Amino acid sequence: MKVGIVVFPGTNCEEDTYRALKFLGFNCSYIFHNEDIVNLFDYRMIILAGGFSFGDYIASGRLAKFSPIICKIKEYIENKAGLVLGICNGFQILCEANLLPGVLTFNNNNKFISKSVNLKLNYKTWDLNLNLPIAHFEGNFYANKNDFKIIKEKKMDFLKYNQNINGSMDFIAGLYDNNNCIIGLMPHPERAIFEYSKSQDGRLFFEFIKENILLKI
Amino acid sequence: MLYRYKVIVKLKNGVKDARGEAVSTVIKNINSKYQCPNVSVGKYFEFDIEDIDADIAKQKAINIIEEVFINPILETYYILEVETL
Repeated sequence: MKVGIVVFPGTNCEEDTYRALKFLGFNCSYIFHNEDIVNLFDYRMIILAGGFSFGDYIASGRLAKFSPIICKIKEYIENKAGLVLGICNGFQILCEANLLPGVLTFNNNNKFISKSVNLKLNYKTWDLNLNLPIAHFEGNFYANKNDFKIIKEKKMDFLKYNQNINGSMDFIAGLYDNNNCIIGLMPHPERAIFEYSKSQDGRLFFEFIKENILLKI
Repeated sequence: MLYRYKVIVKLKNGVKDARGEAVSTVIKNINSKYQCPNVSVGKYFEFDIEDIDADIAKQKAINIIEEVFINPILETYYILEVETL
């Protein structure tokens, strides 16, 4: 199963993501954000990896949304060609590009938080308790009333923190828009794969994605 | 004509300003007589727009501000000054 990992200037989790997914049996390749000759339709999943795209200048993910790859990703989504997964900075980019509702802003304690957190993943018959690392300064999920209503109506809030570590509205750690096949999450499942990691729950997360989404596309 | 736009971006009312609160606490810690001033932290942008028509230049400036400088869910802005160069 082919997976494309998008790299912006300042992305720094692309290699972690590549190694993790390769270990899980995916066929990965990198896609630079302004590559002309790339056909996203060749891929079953497009991942926007974590990091600091364009230095996070102005705001996290703000400048990345103007990259040519975002237009291609919109086309990919419109054609329901596969899953778009945004991890950490990728989630911030998806929100800034209006591909997911809401926005990620500064943690309410005004600190960069880097630790393992307990989460609950709830989607249809899947009910998982996960322990995954987070590492972010702007991970406080905020949505206006209208967006929050949409999130609730479409049951997009599939991943929540057990304890509200950063001030996120309704404990939201990740969103899944199943109509458009887009997932965004602040935790890093790609950092919880190997034996040497504190947790291997990233395997469960990617299994959830594979069983529920990728094999049904 | 070249116009220099000076823009302030602020958080909307009701959005928690974690940075503002942190600055406020530090000011209070420097000297307790300052009590706890209400500080809000925003962003300042300055950029030049060239056009023969001032109205078109203004529209271009507003487009840049609203597309790039702010996220309308969180932030609002005002044009502090337009300097003609």
